[in-house]
Amino acid sequence: MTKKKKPKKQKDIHDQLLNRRREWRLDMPLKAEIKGKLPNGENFSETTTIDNISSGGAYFGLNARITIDTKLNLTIDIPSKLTDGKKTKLSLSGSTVRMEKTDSKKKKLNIAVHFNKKYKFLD
Amino acid sequence: MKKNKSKASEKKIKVLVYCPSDLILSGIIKALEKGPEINIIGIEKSTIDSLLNSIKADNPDVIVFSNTDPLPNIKEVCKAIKDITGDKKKSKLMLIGNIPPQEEIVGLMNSGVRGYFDLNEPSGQLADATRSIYREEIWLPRDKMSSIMDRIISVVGRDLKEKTLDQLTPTEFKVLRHIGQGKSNEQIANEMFISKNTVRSHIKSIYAKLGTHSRLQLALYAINSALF
Repeated sequence: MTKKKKPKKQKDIHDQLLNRRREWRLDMPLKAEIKGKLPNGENFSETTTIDNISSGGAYFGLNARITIDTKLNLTIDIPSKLTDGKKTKLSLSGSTVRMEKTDSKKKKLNIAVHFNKKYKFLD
Repeated sequence: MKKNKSKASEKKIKVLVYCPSDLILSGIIKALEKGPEINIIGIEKSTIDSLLNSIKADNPDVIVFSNTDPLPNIKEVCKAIKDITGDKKKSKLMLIGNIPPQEEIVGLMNSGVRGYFDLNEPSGQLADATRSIYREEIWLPRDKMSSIMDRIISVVGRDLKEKTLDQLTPTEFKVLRHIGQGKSNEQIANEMFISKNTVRSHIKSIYAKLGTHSRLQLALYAINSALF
């Protein structure tokens, strides 16, 4: 008995041309606290606003001068409208995969973070 | 009289033709000459590099690119031409050949092609096609245009669907909100007075509707819905 080879599923043109990301990025201006370590080993904590986010990663501006592959922890306040007034936070962690300079006047760097699969809700 | 003459020459469309085949090239030139305002400023028959150099030097309004053999790197060639001409927004690229499948056409247009002239189209239309490209319009064979539009509509429709929660039922939306609050399936079942299996079934349906398999992504959708 020889196994029949399954025909390769052709990639959707949509995936090929328009969106190669696995999950949709949502443009959410959410306040987030970012924690991590600077290249010199010092801990830092900074509050910023998320530009966009998906379960795969997030993109935001940061003043801290970190490097690629820095481990970061993001804590996002969940809007009270969703939690009926209860203070809940979403904690995510990941590593930096890309950094881009913003315009010359601002010191911030735009940071792209790839999440690992660990996340938790904090009350 | 002189002024009119110079005005007329200003209106001429500068066309650069690339075609390695002498036979097809003579047909292209004959067809383009039917357009009195078309001025063939150059003909390239050798390599892609020489074509790119001619584009840089002559700055044509329209580039007519014909290649009898299918080029495996045609998209890269189109992108290179787009890079040279893109900023000036002057030179436009039209391919001539046997029309490829619609997916390939969409890919080519993404790489900078503005028109595709099928070899089976009447030669008299080549001048019209060139004029259209010059006017920053798109030229595609009529029968392919509808299938490409169908494709675009389905993609755009899917895109919009992905981003909205309108397709969820009220119960599914409630389940989504609970997920956004960080609740487990058991907690959701207790709060909504339904079984855990029903919760699972709702979540499965939400996953399918939102095109995801990640509970975190669902939570983010819920957070997003609470923001706006």
